[in-house]
This record gives sequence, C-alpha cells and structure tokens, in this order.
Amino acid sequence: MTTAHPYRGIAAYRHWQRAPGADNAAELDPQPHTKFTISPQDSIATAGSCFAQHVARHLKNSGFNALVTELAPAILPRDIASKFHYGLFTARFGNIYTARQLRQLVERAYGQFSPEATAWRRGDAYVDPFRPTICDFVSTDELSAERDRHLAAVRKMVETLDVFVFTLGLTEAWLDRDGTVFPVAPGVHGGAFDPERYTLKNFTVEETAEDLRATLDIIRRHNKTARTVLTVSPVPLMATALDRHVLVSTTYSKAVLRVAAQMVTDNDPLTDYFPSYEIITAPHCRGEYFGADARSVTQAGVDHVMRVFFKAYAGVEPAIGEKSTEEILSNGVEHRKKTENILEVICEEDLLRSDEPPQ
Amino acid sequence: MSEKTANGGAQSITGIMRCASDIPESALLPPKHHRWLKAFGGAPKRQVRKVPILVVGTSHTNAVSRALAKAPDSEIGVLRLRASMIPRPGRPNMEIYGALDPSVVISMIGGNQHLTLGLVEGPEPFDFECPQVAGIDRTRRIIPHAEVRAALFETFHKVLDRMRGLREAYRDKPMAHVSAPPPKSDPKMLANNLRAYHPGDDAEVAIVPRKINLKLHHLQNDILREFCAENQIDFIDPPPNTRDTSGFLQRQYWQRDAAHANKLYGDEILNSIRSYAGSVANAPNGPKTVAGVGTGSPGLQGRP
Repeated sequence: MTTAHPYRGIAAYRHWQRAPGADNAAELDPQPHTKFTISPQDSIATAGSCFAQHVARHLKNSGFNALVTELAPAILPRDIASKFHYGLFTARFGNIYTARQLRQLVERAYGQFSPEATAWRRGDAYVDPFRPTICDFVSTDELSAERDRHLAAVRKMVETLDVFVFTLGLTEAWLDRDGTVFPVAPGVHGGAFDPERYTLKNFTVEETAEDLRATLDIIRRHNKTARTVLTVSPVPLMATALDRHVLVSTTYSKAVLRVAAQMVTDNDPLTDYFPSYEIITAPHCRGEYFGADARSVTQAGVDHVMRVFFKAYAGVEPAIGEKSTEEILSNGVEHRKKTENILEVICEEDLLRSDEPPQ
Repeated sequence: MSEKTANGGAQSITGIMRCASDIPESALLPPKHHRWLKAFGGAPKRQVRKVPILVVGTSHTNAVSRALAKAPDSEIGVLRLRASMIPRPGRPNMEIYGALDPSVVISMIGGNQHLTLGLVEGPEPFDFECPQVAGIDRTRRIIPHAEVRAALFETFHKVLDRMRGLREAYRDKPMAHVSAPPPKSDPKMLANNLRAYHPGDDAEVAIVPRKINLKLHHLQNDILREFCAENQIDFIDPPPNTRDTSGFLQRQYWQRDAAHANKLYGDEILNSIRSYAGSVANAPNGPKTVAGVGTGSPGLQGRP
C-alpha cells in the first residue's frame, strides 16, 4: 500500500524529472498557466532593459498589437528611426533598468516629480539625462520640447494600454542629490561625474517591490483594467560599481529582481510573472542561449522565450503582420521618394534648357 | 547593357566639351528618358580637350555652361554627369576622368537634396531648430535637428559616392565643391511650376514654408562641408551678393523651375571658381581658403 503525500499526483511540470525539457531544451515550458490572457487586439506596451527590446520586436513582428505612442517623424526611414530609438519600446524611453527609474518616469509624466537635472552637456550638444542615448540635441529648448512630447507619449501609453510588459534589469543605479535615478552614470554618455553630488544605490528587494507597486498604482489610477506582466532580464550586468566580481553582483541583482517581482505578483490578480530569466538560464539549456561573450542572449533563446510567451498568454502561434505605425513611417519615405523623382525630371529638363540660347 | 555603362560611363558633356565615348547616347539612357533623345541624338562627338579647370557635376552645371556659352573661356570645361545614372559606389569612371588632366577640379555634383524635404509638403509638416535661421513654427511637428539631419543625409549617398569618385580620380589635385544655389522665396512660383508634375490634380501644390527650405539648405551645406573637410575638398559657398536680405536666392538669378539658377548665377559661380583656382595655383601645400571659399567643419554631429 502506498502512502499519500503532497507530491503524489502532482502535475508533470511540478516535477523536475517529469517536466519536459531535460532531454530536449526546446520542450521546456515553465509557464503552464497564467492569470489572464492576451489577445492580438490588446494594446501591449513594452518597457525595460535591453532584453525588453527583443520582446517588443517579437510582438511587432508577430501580429500582436505592440502599442507605439511616440511615433517617429514621417521623414525618417525606419532603419534610421530605430537608431534614434523610435519603435524599440512603446515610447522613446531608452532602456529602463530599475524599478525606481520606471516609477520616476511615470511620476514625471503626471507632474508628481520634477528632477533637478534637466540636461547634460555632451560635447557641443545636450542629452536628456533620463535617456541620454536616444539623440543629441542642439539646444536645451529643443531637448525640453522633445521631452514634453515624450512625457505626453508616456501618459498616452499609460491611459491606452491593455497590457504592460515590463522587464526588470538591474538593481545598481546612480542617484542625484535629490533622489533622481539615472539609467547610466553621469559622465558615461554626457554629463560629468561629481562624487559630491552623485551616489551609487543598490536597491533592495523591499525597495524594488515598493517601486513596482507605486508604479502600478499610478498606472491603475489612469487605467483601471491595465494588466501587467513582469519579467526579469537574463542578461548579466556589464559592469558593477561595487568592488566585487561582476558575476556576484549579477546574481544579487537578479535574485532581488526575481523576488521583488514575485512579491508584487503574489497579491495582485492583474499582475503576472513571466519566466524569461528562467528559460534562458535554465540548466536544461546548458548555457546554449548565451552568446560567445557569455552575456548576450542568442536569437534561439529569444525565440524560445517568445514561443512560450505567446503560447501561455494567447494560446496561438503568432502570425506575421504589419503595423499601422509602420505604414505611417512608410508614407513619409514614399513622399520623399516621389519628390526625388520630380526633382530628377526637373534636372533632366534643365539639361534640355541648356541647349536653348542663353537668357 | 554594355560594360562601359555598368562602369558608370554614362556621362554627357555639355558646354564646351562632348563625350569621348564611342557609345551612342541613346544606349546610355533608360527607356523612360527616350522622349529626350532628340536633344542628344544630333550631338557631334568630339575629342576630349584638356582644360586647366574642370567642372564636374549634375544639373547645376547648366548655369555655368550657359554662362560659358555666352562668354567662352578656354580655361574652363564642364563635364555633366547624368543624374539618372548611378556609378558603382565610390569608384571613379577612369574612362572619362583618365582622359583629362586638369590642374583644378570643381565639383557641382548634386545639390537638390534639400528640396526632397523642403519643397512639397509631406504627410507630416515639420520644422526644426537651425542655428543659421531664427524662428520656429510650433504649429508644425518640431523634429530634433539631429533627426532631420539624419533624414536628409539619407538622400546624399549617391552624391557623396560621386564626389568620392571624383576625389579618387584626381587625388593629387586641388578640388572644391560648389554649393547649390540658395532656395527661392516665392511659394506661388514654385507651386505653379510643380503643378505640371501632378497631372490631373487641380489642387494647389502645397509648398513647404520657404524659411524651412532655407534651413534645410543650410543643413545640406553643413553635411557637405563636413564631407569635404574629411576628403580634402574645399567648399565654395553661394556668392553673398546672390542672396536677398533673408538669405534666399535673389530673383534675378532664378531659372524657370523649382530648383535651378540661371546664366547670371553661372557668371557669379565662374567668378568664384576663377578666384578659387587663382588661390590654389601657387599654393605649395594644396588648397587655401579664399574669400567666399571655406573648408568644412569636422565631425558629422548628430549622426546616430
């Protein structure tokens, strides 16, 4: 006679040896159920660290409605627009690495926080301290106008999204004396590092969870039914500001983010956790989802993550579809080509005139 | 297509020289241009004559050719590259260039790129901050200068390839690039001119506000100055006396279209060219900056 115990009869996915994936990594599916579903019609907003760019791109290319509220100028060809960070995420945030950075972004968008820092010098140009890599500006007026436009796009995102996918990336950040957190240390891409003014902050589990909750509170104040998917980036830290091995700082950071995400989702029916981090780092995959630098995630890894994501939340194999935002961009480029054609004809006709008697 | 054409041998020569190639012009023209063959078919083929000052360019050379037709100058020859032909990127056409041995090389390649964004209104009217032109229209989308620059730069690849090829062909010769004429200030004239290119559409062609076109012309010259500086090419600005007080091309220099200047402007450019040639003639260490001629500023600021 066998004895009953809590593990008898559990689902295969709860048992390491019975869960698919150990023999064939492609079968690894650590998201057997979700709190809600996502339909192709839902407006999905994306933000987060560099890994989140993969998520955004897959959504766009897979027939899902990747929300873009900060459109590129129509005159910019698509490939050039992406170099200015248009379309990488829902708005042109640049990478958002920490929960505090996300919180301060939405607080700035709704006038709840006004940082002391407004512009950093970078050579002859200026950059936005909160997204220093998106563009160099010729003046602070230009920067300020573009930031107003950006924050309006953030508000539109908050108020129109159905699903918010946020990928947590780091716990280490540099803080200004007023508590403002920056995505990169001053001096790395604009600005100048002043040790009297800027301090390192390594966020704890409690701080990260609190920042996430505060962010979701603001979003829901403006969008009651917003659903949120939290993920943790599997990409290790490029460098740590602490005097210890970068791998040790990486495990601390990822552990904090993972636990904080769980704390937030455990008590929130509209927030779910999706295991991107687990899929890429799983022993099942034997490190094969990391590139030669042992840091970047391979396309196969990203594909696996997104396959599981679509299956879990939509129950479908994604289809390729074009987005209306891209059509708008195309119209501007088409217009430019049309004008180029007219100018070419004008030039040829002027050649004919050169055979006319001089005026 | 012949090998010569594939090598970019699609030059027609206007002004005082004619093409040395034995390929008939008709073989070099794409079918859509056949209606213009009559203009080229009767052109006699002549031997290339070597000239001290060689002007190589596209449609803006016509103003210079007209001026030379009126007042011939045996020192100056004009080689007109056909705009519809694309040479292999960055490779000089030595079949033509190799037969010439100028002392000074002048580029008038391209020049209408600023009009691709600055002539006909697009689906999203825009304005941008430009250090050389005050004022901004905030009823239009304000695009960062760096992004407008990147969009404009996208239209320059063919032009820069051809300039690079010319520089490569005459790498040891003094070389300058001549700015395109400033834009024209009259939107009605431009709309009337462009109506012919929108057959069947009675609506008035919407023209980009002239001040924005002026900004784009400045931006174009910023891009070209930087390219020139990186490639040891001097830069010749539009003669100051050809601009009105707002910076537009004075009406007396207008050609009868949206893009070009006339023979009078060609006279002014010839003066600039002669001045440049005089300044470099005795220079032991290459080109020198002279009045109305400047070198570019370094660095392609704002490129992503």
